[in-house]
Amino acid sequence: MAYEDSNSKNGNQDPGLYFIDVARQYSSPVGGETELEPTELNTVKCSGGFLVVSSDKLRVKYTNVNHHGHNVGVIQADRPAPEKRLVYYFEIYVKNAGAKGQIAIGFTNHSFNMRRQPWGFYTVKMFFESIITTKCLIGNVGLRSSTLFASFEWEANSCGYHGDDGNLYRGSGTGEAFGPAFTTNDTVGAGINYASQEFFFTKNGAVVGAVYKDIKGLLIPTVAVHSQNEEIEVNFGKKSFAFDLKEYERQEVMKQQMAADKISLPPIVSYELVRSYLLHNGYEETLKAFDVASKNTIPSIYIAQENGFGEQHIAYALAQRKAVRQLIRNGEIDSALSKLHEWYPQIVQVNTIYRMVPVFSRVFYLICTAGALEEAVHYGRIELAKFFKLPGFDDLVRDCAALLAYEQPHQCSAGYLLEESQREIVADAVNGMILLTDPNVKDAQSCLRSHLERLLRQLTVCCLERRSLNGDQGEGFHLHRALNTSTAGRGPSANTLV
Amino acid sequence: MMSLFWIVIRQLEEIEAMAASKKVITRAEWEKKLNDVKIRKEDMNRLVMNFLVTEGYVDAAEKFQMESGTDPGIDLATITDRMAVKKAVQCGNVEDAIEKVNDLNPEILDTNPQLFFHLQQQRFIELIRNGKVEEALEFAQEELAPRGEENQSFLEELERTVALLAFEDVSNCPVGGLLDISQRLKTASEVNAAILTSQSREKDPKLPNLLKMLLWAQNQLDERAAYPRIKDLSTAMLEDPAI
Repeated sequence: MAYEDSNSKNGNQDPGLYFIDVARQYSSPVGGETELEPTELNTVKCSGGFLVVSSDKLRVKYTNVNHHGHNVGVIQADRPAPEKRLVYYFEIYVKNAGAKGQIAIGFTNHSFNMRRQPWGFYTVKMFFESIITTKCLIGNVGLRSSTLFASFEWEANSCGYHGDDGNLYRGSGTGEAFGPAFTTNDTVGAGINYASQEFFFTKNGAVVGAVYKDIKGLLIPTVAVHSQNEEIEVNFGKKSFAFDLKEYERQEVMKQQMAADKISLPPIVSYELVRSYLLHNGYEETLKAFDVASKNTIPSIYIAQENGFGEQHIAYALAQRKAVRQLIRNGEIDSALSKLHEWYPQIVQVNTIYRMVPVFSRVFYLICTAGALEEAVHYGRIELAKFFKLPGFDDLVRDCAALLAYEQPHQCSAGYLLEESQREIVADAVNGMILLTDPNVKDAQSCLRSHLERLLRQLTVCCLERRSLNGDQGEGFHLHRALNTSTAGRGPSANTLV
Repeated sequence: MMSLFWIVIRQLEEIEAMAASKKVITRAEWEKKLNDVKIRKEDMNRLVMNFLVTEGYVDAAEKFQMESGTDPGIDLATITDRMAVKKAVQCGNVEDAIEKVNDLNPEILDTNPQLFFHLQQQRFIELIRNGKVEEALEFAQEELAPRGEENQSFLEELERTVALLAFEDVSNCPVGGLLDISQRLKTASEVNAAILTSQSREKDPKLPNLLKMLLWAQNQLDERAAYPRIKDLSTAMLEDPAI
């Protein structure tokens, strides 16, 4: 019952509006979330006096002559590491290990205080540790009543890999044996693996080790120099890394895929989904070829079952949908419209005319594409004007009109309308509208979205929801990215897209 | 003492809260989220094209390119060659298949001894199937036995296969499964995968992996939340959360 209710609600969503939303997507870039990445060092907030930062803000040199434990030169990146991804990573190149090679690389959080909290950098650790612990305790008595718990929390705000002893320092604790030491000419990297919730470190392109990430919240890439003439170059990804990050990410994706691989799918479900997708969209020729070929490969019992119920609605008016789609793809919009008039006069009636807005606006740009500018202007004046006053469409109409104003409309901000993919969207809109004329249609949603699309939406939302329950860290699912990620390994001409 | 007591109480409260905190997401909320997802049509088209190409629906891929404007990302002629090899194995013409693979790229078999062994094994099976016992015996001695000596891991399989020679009624013998069509399909898909790999293409289509990922993601989310699931992939219908 509940399902029926929600269907009727969805039925109210206007398909015209729906496709306008689809079209709008194209005015924004693909790939979903774009988080700003660290690009340079933060010269405002750093332990001043002991170090010099180059003008490109990517090189640091320790200049202080006197070696005091607390004169450490710590410097953070300008932004925290992005979280909504699988892995974040950056590198340093040790140009000069200086007097003592006490260089360190790692992450700190916002509460990390570079003047007071030394990130375990002191060589004279014992002395300072006692002071820090006292500070923590005193500080927390004021803040919270449960002293023990909170003091540990407060300290866990950094994690760094040190060059002189290869140790790992977390919070202000003593170093733990971790990896090899590093020195002049070494390239060292630090990364966060959000899937496994670990920090990992590399030396000269090889992973040194990983450790559980016990710091919550945003983390800032951080480096430190501590003895005279120590000099490092930071690489936030502008140059290629010594470490093969792509391969590391690929391995990580494989791990996830392996967990999913244990799940078995019902037989031929992929085949069914492809077939219903072709039907839904009216790709009739493809469907025919697909059916001919699958006669030989798919056991016939499945096909017999599958052509049964539940598919009539997407097989509705297949030939007509195919014909109109083809005309639109070829840019023959006038013919497409006259066919629509002939076959589905109800679609073009006055009360539904606003549903046709996407069609008209596309017609307009198609003429633009063909270079018949005068005709386009004329057409635009007549047809576009009708839609100017309709609420909800003004931005699209404006974008369409904008195309007229440019000599090279492809390059203007409304240029996305001229992309060939827009024809496909117009064709989809018309396809959906024809499907809606089926008197047997109960669920408007199914006219607008193929089964495949519904599953992909479900997958996307499940992944997002899971991430939001995991403190908003890690990768979401984006079809666009999934398609461009190759798991085929590094073949000579393997997919190089990201 | 008192402070310890309070810590314990607080921890207990936290544990209880965790257990009861399974988030409930209503259908209306969920549908709003579903509507907010941005999926490009051209990406779905690419997903479908990837399926057609990888599974070898060459005619359909060609038509799909015309009807949807989706770039197959590969010379479709190479699919035809690949499918010819696959079909040859599926029909039992293994010799023909080996020749075709070598025409396509001789490195495929040179660099893949396991595949070559499995093809030779299949050839032997086909000889037995056709009742050519003497020929099979000769083939086993000349071609199969040396492979077994080369590689310890093939030896066991080899012994199992050659056991077919020992039975008069092979269809009812313990190793009769080798004569199943499924054995042909297995070998065929192995060749198919090897050719795809040699072309730097993934050997499996993306779609089934995404479907598995969906089921897996739903299972994972089940632990933390009650929300509308899709149980039946082929209908893609949402089912109301069980509360």
